[in-house]
Amino acid sequence: MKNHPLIVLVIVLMTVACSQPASAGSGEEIFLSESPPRGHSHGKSRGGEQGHSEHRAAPVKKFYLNTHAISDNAAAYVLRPDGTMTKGTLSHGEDGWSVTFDTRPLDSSMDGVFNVYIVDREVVDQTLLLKVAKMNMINHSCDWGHKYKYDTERLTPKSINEIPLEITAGGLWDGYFHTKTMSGDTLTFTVLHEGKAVEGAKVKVSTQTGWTKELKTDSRGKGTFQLIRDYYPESWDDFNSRKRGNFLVTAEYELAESGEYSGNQYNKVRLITTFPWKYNPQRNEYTSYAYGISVATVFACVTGFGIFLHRERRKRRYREADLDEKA
Amino acid sequence: MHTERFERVKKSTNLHFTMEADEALRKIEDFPSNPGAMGYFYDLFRSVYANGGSLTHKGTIIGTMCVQVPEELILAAGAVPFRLCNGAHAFDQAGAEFMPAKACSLARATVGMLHINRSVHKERLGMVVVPATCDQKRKAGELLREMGYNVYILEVPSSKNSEEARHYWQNSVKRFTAELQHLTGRKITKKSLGTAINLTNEARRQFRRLYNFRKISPPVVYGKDALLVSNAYFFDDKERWLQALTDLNNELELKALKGESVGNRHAPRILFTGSPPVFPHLKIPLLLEQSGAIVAADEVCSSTRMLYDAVAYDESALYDMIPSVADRYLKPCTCPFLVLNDDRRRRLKDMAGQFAIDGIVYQIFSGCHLYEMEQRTIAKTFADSGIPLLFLETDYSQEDTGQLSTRIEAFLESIKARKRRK
Amino acid sequence: MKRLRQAINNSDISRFRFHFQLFAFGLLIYGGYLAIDFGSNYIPAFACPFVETRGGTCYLYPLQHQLNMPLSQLFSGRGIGLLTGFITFLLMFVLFNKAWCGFACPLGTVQDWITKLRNRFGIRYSTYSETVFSRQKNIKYVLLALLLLLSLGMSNSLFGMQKLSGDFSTSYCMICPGRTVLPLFTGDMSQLVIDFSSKTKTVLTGLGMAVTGLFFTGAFVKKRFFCLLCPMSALQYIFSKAGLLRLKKDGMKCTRCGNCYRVCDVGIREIADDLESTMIVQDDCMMCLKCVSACPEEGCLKATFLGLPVYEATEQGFFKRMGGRS
Repeated sequence: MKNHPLIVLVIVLMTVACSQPASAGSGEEIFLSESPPRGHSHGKSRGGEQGHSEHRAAPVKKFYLNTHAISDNAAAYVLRPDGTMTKGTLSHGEDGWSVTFDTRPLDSSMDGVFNVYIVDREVVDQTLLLKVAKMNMINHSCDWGHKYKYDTERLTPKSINEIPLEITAGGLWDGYFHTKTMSGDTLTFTVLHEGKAVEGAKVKVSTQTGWTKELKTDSRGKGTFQLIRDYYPESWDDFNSRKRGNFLVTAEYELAESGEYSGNQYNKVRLITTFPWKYNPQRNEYTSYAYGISVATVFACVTGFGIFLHRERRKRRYREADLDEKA
Repeated sequence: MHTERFERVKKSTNLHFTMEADEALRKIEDFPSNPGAMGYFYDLFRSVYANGGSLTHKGTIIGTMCVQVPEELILAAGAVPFRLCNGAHAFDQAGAEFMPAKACSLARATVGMLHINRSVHKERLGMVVVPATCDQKRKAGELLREMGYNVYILEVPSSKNSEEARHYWQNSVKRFTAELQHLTGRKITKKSLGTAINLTNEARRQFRRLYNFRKISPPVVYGKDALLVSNAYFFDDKERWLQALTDLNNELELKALKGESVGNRHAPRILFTGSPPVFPHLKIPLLLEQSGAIVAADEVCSSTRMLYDAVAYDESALYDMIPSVADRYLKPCTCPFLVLNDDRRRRLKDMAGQFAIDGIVYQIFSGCHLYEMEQRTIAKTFADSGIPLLFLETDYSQEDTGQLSTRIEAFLESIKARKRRK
Repeated sequence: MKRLRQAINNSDISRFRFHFQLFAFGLLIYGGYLAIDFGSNYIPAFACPFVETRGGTCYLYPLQHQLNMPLSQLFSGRGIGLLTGFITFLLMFVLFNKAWCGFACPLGTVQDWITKLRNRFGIRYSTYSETVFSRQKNIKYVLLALLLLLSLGMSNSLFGMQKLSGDFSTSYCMICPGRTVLPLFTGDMSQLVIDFSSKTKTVLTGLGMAVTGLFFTGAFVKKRFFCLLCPMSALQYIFSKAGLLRLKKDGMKCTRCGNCYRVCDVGIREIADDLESTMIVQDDCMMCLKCVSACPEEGCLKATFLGLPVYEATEQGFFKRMGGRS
């Protein structure tokens, strides 16, 4: 439940922070999230804060878009872990647009990472605006076993050439298909234009707490940033190791191309793409090797020494008969 | 003590003993088709007992008064175990000076022998180990101490069923180990103990081969020979004994393959139990086999109980090997000095089945209360089994031979009659 | 056939077991490298899920996860998940009975290695007195009960108590030395920590590290120290009578020589002194079959599979094994 006002906050913050219309995150972008943007929660959002909400097999998945306003050209694509593509169904409700798609059969054949895309095209002011919202989700149940644990193919999000602009990031999950991103981690992503790396794309990272960072992709289309620590509970008792932070990566790129789309002329192409992800507090913040190993060592040594003493005493017992009671 | 009278008694006792041994050997050999490999054992007894020969042992001789003494430890300490239990009437009489008339012949003969000879086969004893088992042995130990022997009392629990008893015994054996090391000046190592265990286990493996040959019907070997073999283990060099027994076993194996047998095919198969027959007192087994029976199995501490069980240890280290050796001497023990001796009844029953036994002969030495008192429970055990029991109270003298042989013949007749009816 | 059986009965089970354990350890700890996922979630041994490269998963882990559900859902799809999980575990277990402990459990194998190390140092092992042995026998049942109740208690209010915090998730794993020790074999030290994120976690992981310390000293001085406390062993024993692999004893043939008890790593006295039971597997038994190899009585002890003898005590085999020592 806590999630939803925060997501609203993200939107507000992002609109505020990105007042310059030309920069990435201009408010034009569309992005996907796991829960409805305006807090109309549908039933219990299982484990939202607990992290592994994605980590449960469901026959149908639904993700929400941040807007009511998409064009009729908008389409949803789903790239499944086995490399096949299907279409998702876009529907409109009081929460705005959402996409639903099938993850069946629930028999582990679809075990792995799904890419969900919504691609919207329209011509505005003689500019072809290509908006892409991407989301990675994992379709997995431990009951299926972990046979794809070492199948990096299944765990590496793919990209497809059909998508005008997309952000890919690797190493988001551990071997158990849990998201492993923590604050303090350095994340590397690649911006691809129709499958090819893009140099000089404007990228903006913004967390729901308001931290933003802007950068440009290098010659290999890569960008790197370190996630900040932005979780400071009032007291240690309130600390929640599964506290989830959300952030959004937005990339923007312009092409000097002209053409016609749906009867409208354009002389340049602007591409905006988003990629939301999540992170947890850094593990080192709340765990301690020093204490752990000390406790183990102390217990090992104390019992070891105890046994040694016990054995020494036993030896003595058979050697001497000490009966003096200071009569 | 070395008075003229003593010298005279010593001379006559030894003479009587030689005659007695010679007589027993003659009877033992007076059977048709003795195995060739038994020759070694006949000769051994003839040279050592009948001809008063000596043995050459390498190391201090440690006399043991009972089957409860762990011989592996003695061997590992570089000493030679020598079982003192004696079967001679001549020495029994010599021992009468020390022990009451109602005492058991075996204990009395042992004391008598040590009184007369001060040595065994001309070799002095470094120590006499007396396990505190039955009353006879315990008090005999005290007498030997008075005679000036280096007596070590090996404490034994009176029951084996509790873990406490087992630990008590293991500690007792540990103390004994320390004493042995002190006496011989040689440290028992896992290597020397391992070698000793291997040797004795090999002896037991060969003994079990012989034991298994005795299961064959019609029989391939007489009980008197088997008893003589295990009696030789009392004093013989272990490796030589092992070789001789291996030869005998190989010969018996061939015999069994060829289908050769000894005695009558339908000879009543007897299980011998009770007080231990020790050479030359093999009176009852001999009477039985002279009367046409076969002593197919025995459950006595001078034979099966001494050599049947083997040591099993887990870790090659003294902390495991010594308790393992100790366990070998307590856990399977069926001596009636132990209270709650159900295992003896089970063992006898099992043997009666395995050896296709027709009758059980139970020897009780006059004065051996323990065997005498177990008579009832053993009788009850076999009451419904159809296996008749014959209890024979006897001692080392030959006076009761006539009476015994009459009773034995009647017993065997009844078995034969029963077998014919079937 | 007869000669094959004789060859097996003459063989040294401990040597075979040593190599089999190595193989099973490789399979269960490193099997993942070969993309082996053996039975996935339902291994009746400590194939620890905290080992990334494992080739199977200890059943206690999914069991705790699956039990974390409201009782009302017991008869829904999730209940079926629990049931199928349990049935798979049971089928795997019934096949080899408690031999899982003696031959496959990686934590058991580690303890056997520690024992070998101690033996090399020439330090003697400890034994429990009978009272201690019989008392600590119950600990594993208590742990099993706690494991089940704590898992259920997260989604249900048991005994009028509040629902437990989610930090009790896989609470047994948190104190199991398998979690801390086994990942070390893949170079993963990440479990050697105390997690201070909540009080529950602090206590559980703190206990876990204390148990880890105890595990090392315990296993060093006492053979199979931890197995005597293992809730998996308790869970297994409940179904042990249904095992297809059995350890049988013929009391009539037993001379109570105690050899079997002598070599028993866990110290089961019944193996020597119980003359009535024919199925002799006790809750602490790990079916290492050392007792069979130490028994000199023909056919007195034997391991059977579906009634067919697999490994049988023979006089010949006994003396062969004992003779080859030192």
